[in-house]
Amino acid sequence: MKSYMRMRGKQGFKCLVVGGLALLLAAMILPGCAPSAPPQGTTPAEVEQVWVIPILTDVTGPYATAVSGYYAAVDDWVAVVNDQGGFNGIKVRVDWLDTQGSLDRSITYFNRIISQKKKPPLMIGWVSMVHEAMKSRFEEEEIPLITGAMSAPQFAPPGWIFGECPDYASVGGGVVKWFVEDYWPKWKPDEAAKRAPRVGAITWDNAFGRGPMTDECIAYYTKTLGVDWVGAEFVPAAPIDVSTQVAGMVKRNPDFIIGDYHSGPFAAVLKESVKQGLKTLNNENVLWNNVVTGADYNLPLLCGPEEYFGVTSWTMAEGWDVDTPVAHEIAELFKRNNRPVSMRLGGYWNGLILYAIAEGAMDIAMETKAFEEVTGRDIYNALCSGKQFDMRGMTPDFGYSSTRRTPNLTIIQAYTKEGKLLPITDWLTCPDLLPGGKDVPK
Amino acid sequence: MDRPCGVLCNSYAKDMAIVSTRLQWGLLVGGLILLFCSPLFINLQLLSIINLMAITLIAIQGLNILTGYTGQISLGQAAFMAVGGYTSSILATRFGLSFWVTLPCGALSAGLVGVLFGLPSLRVKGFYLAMSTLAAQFIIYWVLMHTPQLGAGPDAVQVSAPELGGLKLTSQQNMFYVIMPLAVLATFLTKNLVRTRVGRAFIATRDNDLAAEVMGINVFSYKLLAFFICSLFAGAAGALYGAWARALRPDYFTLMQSIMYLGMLVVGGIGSTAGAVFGTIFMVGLDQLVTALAPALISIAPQLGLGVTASISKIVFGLVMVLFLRFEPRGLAHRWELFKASYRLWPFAY
Repeated sequence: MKSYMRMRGKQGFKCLVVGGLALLLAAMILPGCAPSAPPQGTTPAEVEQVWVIPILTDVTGPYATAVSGYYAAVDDWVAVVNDQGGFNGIKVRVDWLDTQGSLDRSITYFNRIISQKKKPPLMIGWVSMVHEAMKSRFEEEEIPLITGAMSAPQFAPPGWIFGECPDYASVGGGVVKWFVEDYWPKWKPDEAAKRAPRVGAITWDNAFGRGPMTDECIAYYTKTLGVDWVGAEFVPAAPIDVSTQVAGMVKRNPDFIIGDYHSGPFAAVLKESVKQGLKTLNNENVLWNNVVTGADYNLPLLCGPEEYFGVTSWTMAEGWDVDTPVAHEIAELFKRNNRPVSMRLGGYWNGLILYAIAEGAMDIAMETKAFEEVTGRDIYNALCSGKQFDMRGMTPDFGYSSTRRTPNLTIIQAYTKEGKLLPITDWLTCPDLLPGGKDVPK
Repeated sequence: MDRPCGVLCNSYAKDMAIVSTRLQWGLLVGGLILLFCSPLFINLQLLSIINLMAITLIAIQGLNILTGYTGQISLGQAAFMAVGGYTSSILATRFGLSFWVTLPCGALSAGLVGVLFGLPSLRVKGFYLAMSTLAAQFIIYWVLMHTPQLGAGPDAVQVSAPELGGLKLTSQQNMFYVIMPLAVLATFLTKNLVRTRVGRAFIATRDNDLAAEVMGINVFSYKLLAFFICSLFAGAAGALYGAWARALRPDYFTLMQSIMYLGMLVVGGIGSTAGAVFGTIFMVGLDQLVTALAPALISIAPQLGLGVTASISKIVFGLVMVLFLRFEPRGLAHRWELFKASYRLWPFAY
């Protein structure tokens, strides 16, 4: 009898576990069967106007760490806007759609967005791998996407995806141009008189990392700038060991190495390169430059304060320690929200920029229409209108056109100094290396 | 299907029938009608999740034949999907072939690649065979990443939507009627396969390959056949995935995806057609649920930090696997069998 009871008890526990999991699944599926009903007994005038901005990003997943600053920035800024009465009196709410960098998750969430009674007039995004694949969907559904991910296929040919800065290819061109024309002749004048600089890359093996290594880029590096391109080594999203890649680059004997990844992998590559003699502290034999993710304050922390390397960005993001109005504005946001120093990530500035673009586009669209009548087409027209957007000093000359989906071609170089990232150039203009761009060698 | 208490078979055909009573026929037909009418009353997000589940189910049924019925572990199912997807896409874009031609071509190509990677199964088994299929996962991924001249490469490859009679099947509703019949067909074929001579040979190979060989079964041929069918299903799923997502990237077919597929089989019940269905629905559903809840979790408990929240879906996946392996190693299919058994005996206890 006892063993029977024990057996029943075990069965009951099993049932409980399996039943609980089944309930969890049902909880997900059942709400999907019910169409959302509008609130009863209210007129449109009585309903508080809310601007819901869907944000398609990887809140979780292999690239999520870079999003934390972005996530915090949008949260902080939306709170400020709502505290001040909202955007033009309209409350703002963000709807985070977690893609985990996965296309199928993105599609299912995108379908949720487009099945709403009124489609959102715009979306904000962050993941190249997903946006490239969904480019046609944004166009079909007439929802402009404003993105912080800048791989070239999203913008050429022009569609409904708008970037917040120059594309990765153009930024890569700008960095190498700066090195060849400004840095190399001053750094090694004797060598510069005799030979072309050898340039290579250690970078992420994805659309982001390969962005500054498109065919257009390589043609520009070699034909226009005349560099000796020694090739590229690729590292995975979260590399554990990069010794093979660094050893591969040692053999190629480069003068300048570019890369395009977030701060963690960059730090891993830098540390390994010191071990293998590809880089020597305080006596540089090779110059390193991370092409687009320069804005992470934790980069010097990760790499060590004595490390010397460059980063390139399109915002004043290196200016965490620079005396500018935007830096003060952000310092206030940090203070208000008790953000730790480790949150001083490039994503934070990017979040503010993306939100500023959304505000600017909505402002233009609302010049002719009431908020509730603004559609994706109106925002698209606003973005393509050629008008300049106010970026509050974070980045200059900001605007799109009917043929241009990236706002400018300006970048800034920063280098580490005593554990801080400090700008070493003024705004630089990079070449236009989008497919069909005017600086792509024929 | 199991028969209710008191329903007896008086012929071999009746004994082997999948559906044997009027009630079961009614439930089956009713269920199928409900399934195929579902796009009329469910929302777009859920429909796209169902489409994703159906595509995954085809791949899982293939894996079920290989792992569940033949006992050969594969960690390369996602890579075989990629082969099917890219073959279908390349044939469509470079040669202008219709989706209805490229779909079977993609499936066949994946089947052949599967046979190639199944060759070591003659010599190795268990853990070592798993390692061999793991190599398939990495080799295929590498080839796709580094052969832009073939039409692959790291950038997203746009796949055009299938067309039927001049109509472009771009909507989720349209794609449902392409994907779901194939998922039902794959399930039926799998169920039917195990009742055949081939299926019995698969099971004999799984249970004891030496004994199977002594009985006259050409074990190597049957193992290769299982690899072929498994990869064929995966290839079809890959081609459908490309058509559904309208884009392909190597990043969508990773090792993690292959492990997830094995996990779905474990949760559903290895060696059970119904188990593959349950496992797919449960795991894809859970993944979508966790994904939906992650942003809320960060807002509710920011002290967890992104370190935890970034891994939440993996944590949940691991936890579910551990729970099932500990408390229900035979998977949800076993629970379903218990439920049906108790229903058949009701109102009697036993």
